[in-house]
Amino acid sequence: MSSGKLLKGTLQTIILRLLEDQDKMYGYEITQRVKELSNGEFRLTEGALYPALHKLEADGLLEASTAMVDGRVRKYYALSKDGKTEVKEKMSEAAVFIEKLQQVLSLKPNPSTI
Amino acid sequence: MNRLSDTHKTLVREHINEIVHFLETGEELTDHLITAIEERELLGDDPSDNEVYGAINIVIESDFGGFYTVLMDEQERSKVYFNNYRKALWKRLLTWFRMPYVWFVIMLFFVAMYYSYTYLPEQQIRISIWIILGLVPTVSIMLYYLFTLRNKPSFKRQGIMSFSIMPMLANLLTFQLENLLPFEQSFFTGYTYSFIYAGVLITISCMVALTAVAMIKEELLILKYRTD
Repeated sequence: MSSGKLLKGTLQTIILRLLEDQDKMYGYEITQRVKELSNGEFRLTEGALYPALHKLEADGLLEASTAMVDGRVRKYYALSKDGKTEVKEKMSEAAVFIEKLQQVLSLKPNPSTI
Repeated sequence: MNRLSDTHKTLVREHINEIVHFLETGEELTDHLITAIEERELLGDDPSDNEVYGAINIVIESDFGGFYTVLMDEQERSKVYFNNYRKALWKRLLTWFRMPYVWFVIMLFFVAMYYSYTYLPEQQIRISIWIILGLVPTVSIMLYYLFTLRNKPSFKRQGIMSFSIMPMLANLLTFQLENLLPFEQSFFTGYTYSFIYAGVLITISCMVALTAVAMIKEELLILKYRTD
């Protein structure tokens, strides 16, 4: 399943949602978690993931910390205070979008608007 | 899962550091590569150096689409980082005007005025004091640079270095202002202007110096944590 392009628009929402669930995660862990949750169907490319993480960090939605793991520095990302607010907005935006997309793809308008 | 030996981990780190420019990129990429190589079991027991390089290329190609993507991300990130860092510096300087720090600034201003009025009648002494105060942040930044010279440049270090020129520029501007403005003939008559002017300068210089020193201290603590 070629999901890369479809995932791109929702990448930030996915990252924020995963970090809402876990206290902190590192880049590789995020890709593996997405793979696991989608039974291997969704595959986040790191070429897209890291720029998204860095952008979220620069925008102040994520906070980064480092820890020494097996003799190397590991960078963890966690939701900032602003990030915790943003994840709720992003989730409701995504829910509305999925609902509308389903209506369009099923070629059935919302009965309440007819 | 086949764990990489310390020698091979160093090999990965050194190889990545030859390619990427900044410390943060190197650290994150090294961790990603080592984790991926180990979890995907790309290498057998006791691999050769060439096999390790091969595994690095496999992960870079499959996960990032090549080193080009990594370097493009690094370039983009450095631009965003410097902009954010500059904003953070200004924000930090402005905190001096918030409670409770503003009381310290007011007190400093009056102490500086009193000090320059009482003890610094000579123009030359005043100039020396301004130079010293202007040099404090620059010298601390230079010392910090020397301390960290052995390390790979970090986004933060680049940000701090770009800050070093600020107090020097402020000093230059100050002296130019004194030459350009007809203080002696202005309504700041006679000696009165001097200690107000000196008070403002000393206060601003101290704020800049303390901000620079605090930021450097934070950065050195992070470096200490990294090397511990």
